[in-house]
Amino acid sequence: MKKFITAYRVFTPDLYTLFAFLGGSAVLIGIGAFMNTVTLPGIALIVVSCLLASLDVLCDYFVFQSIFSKDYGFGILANSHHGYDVLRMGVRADQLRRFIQIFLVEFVTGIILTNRMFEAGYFNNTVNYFGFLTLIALAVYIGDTISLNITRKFTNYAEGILPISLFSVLETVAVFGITMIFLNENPEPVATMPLLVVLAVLAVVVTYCMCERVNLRFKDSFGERKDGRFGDDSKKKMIVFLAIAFGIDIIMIPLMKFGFDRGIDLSVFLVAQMMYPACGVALAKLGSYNEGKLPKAAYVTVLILGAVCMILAALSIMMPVSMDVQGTETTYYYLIASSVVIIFNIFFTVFICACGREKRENAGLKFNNPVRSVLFILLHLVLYFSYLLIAVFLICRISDVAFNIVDDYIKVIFSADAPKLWVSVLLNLILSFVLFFGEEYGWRYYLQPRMQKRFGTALGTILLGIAWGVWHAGADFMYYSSETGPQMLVVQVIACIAMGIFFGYAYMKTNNIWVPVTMHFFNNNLVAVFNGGNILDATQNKVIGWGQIPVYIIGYAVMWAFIFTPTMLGKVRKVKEAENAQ
Amino acid sequence: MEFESVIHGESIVKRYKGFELNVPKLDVPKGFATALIGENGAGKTTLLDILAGIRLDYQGSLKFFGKYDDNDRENKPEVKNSIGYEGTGNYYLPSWTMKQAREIQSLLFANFDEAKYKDICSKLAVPDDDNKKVSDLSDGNNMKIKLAGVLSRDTELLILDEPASPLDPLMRDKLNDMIRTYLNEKEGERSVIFSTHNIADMESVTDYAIIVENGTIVEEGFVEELKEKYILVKGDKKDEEAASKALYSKTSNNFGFEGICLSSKLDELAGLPVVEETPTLSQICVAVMKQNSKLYGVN
Repeated sequence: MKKFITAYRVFTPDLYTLFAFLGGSAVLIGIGAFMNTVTLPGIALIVVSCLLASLDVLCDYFVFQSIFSKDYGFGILANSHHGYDVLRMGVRADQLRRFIQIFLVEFVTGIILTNRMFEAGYFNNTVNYFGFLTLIALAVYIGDTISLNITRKFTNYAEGILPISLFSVLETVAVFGITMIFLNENPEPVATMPLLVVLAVLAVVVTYCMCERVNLRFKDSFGERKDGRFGDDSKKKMIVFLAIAFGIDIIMIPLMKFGFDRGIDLSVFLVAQMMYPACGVALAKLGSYNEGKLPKAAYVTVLILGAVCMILAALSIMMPVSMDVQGTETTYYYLIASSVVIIFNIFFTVFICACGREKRENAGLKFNNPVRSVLFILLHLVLYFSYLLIAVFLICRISDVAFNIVDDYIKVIFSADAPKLWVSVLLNLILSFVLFFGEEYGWRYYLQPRMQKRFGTALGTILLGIAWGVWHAGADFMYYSSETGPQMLVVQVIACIAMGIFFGYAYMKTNNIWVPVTMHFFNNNLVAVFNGGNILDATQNKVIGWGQIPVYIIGYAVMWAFIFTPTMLGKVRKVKEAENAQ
Repeated sequence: MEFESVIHGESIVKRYKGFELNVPKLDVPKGFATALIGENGAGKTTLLDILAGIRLDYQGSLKFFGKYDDNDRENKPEVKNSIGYEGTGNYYLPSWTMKQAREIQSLLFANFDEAKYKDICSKLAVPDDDNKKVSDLSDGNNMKIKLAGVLSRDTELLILDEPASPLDPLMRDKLNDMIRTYLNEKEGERSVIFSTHNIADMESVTDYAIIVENGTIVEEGFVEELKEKYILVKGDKKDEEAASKALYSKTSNNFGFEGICLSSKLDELAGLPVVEETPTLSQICVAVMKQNSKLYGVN
């Protein structure tokens, strides 16, 4: 602790800390109290938050200046083996100070301002009341942090402090204002917890980015450490990836449970979930100094899309609004999320196309081996239909259902509506592939090679399939199959192992991430073709008996059989090694 | 002379716009004080920064203490803990006070002895004012606290970049003593490498000299060996033309000439009425630098 304080104090002027922490806070609380007497509590809170944000940019300016003073990189820190760590400690301490400061101010002003609301019975208990205050503080903190990051990135504080402060204020108004509007619309029993959890997660992630950025900039000042000769950060990258891809997945489960218990549609959670793996990769790679040039704009698009979907998911259970989509009841937020995805998908496509060959290469986004890729996608379609026919055939046999389900399927494929459905599916692919990229980029591009290196090609692929299957647990129990969760989970794991093997094989053969992305898309969306274009209905609330599990094992044999290919068994490599040895 | 090297480097390359540091082989002897000599812009600071790990954007391989490479230097605490580096420019953050500078050093270096630091500071007559800003100190005092910083750590190797430049003559003499004391405390275990463009002041403490010109090493060796290799020759004006062919470098005045001659070429001067003397290190350095400098062109 003493070290922490020392590190903080050597990097930030004491006077500034005193001003920021005590003087600034006191002034803001005073303004808050004054505003309370003349105007609405909500507006007063916004004013205080804006002032806090601009004050913070000013304070950050000092820290930033001191940390990046020109000759600084060549000083005493590089001479110590843990100089970076001490700097990082100083930066983190500063972040902590900001966090505490914002909470202090927002809490005190919040208590002063919203006392009337509390007395008027807007909040049904103290927990909700303090939840509301925490929510405001978190919203301000995130808005503030985002604006600080953006201002740091684009201005380097070179253009003067005033426009930056203004920009920061606008940012905070946006984030904070949205929160306030949503809360004001619905002042009765505010179930703030879901949004609070999401905001807290975002706060942690954004703060991490903030600290990492400072650290990276510092390392950059030592020259181009791009070749990764010094310091291997692959472990750190893996931790970041796992924390995002699996950590957030786990954190969201209680929220899903919250909505599930209230019978709210959870579709938006599934959309958000698909983005976590790619967000994990993007964060891990952006925070690394030996990755070469990266398509930052595309990565940031993915990150923002992930964050927006998470917030929509939280809102969908806080303020549920249900609506009807093609006869299936779903949440209004699903429509919003879909629109958001389409918009971000456009940005994502543009950024990927515009970023240039080198960046695509570094990020593993190149469209390699086009001919073989197309063949693999066609092969996947054939295998997918074979699996479907085998599975349906077997299920009909077990459950003595009339055999004509298969006939129905065949009829759908060759019906007059079929071309229309196919066009809509392909259109869907173009409009929303970013979601499937979200998953495949994490699993196939990032985790698969690392798992294979660690556990061997075949075993690594299978373990990845298991992890991928278990990752769906929340959705299995609460979305796909609310009555037969365990069975659904087992089926999911089987499916994920089988698909993991085939997708993995295709990826190894083509070295083209868009192949598994497309396959994943077809896998998820072709069901809709047979269901008259309605995907929501086709995937929700299935009932699966234990007896059906062998059906899936046999059905998916068309995919998991690829584990016996030479590539998967590692024979290719051995042959090559033998050749090399000669 | 055979020696064990405390730093061994191979093919160290660093390119700037319009300048290239290219050192095919570098050996710093263990247990001695090594001077890195060269004119301004010769690449001394760059080389020392590379050795200390301040710059990392170079190619080539380095070996420290005979067993650690440059990757270990970045990743194993014991390597940087036993290297003391003092650089030009802002070594401390300008806004730091004397007290903060002391605190951060105890935070950064495990083997930093705060009492020793205070002791050295008071011996060197650094103003004893905890609240004085580091940036407000004079250049000389600034250098003194940097030196106090590295000397109050238990190190095996000191890398000093231009330690003498900001110091007054008396203090330079003291610096020589300090380096000598440092080496003698653990005879044969400790080594020092320092750069200087003013070799005359540091001559008494230099055991081994490395002369750098235009980004590469042009001459190196123990001072005694260099003094055997190069001979100072003095003669009259009339013999100047005859002697100049054999001379490595020469300066002339109205009455006569003075030059450095390689001892292997001394035979060619046979028969001329010249006086042979042992040169000082600075005379050797100037001669070598003259031969290789851009300033003089082709002589």
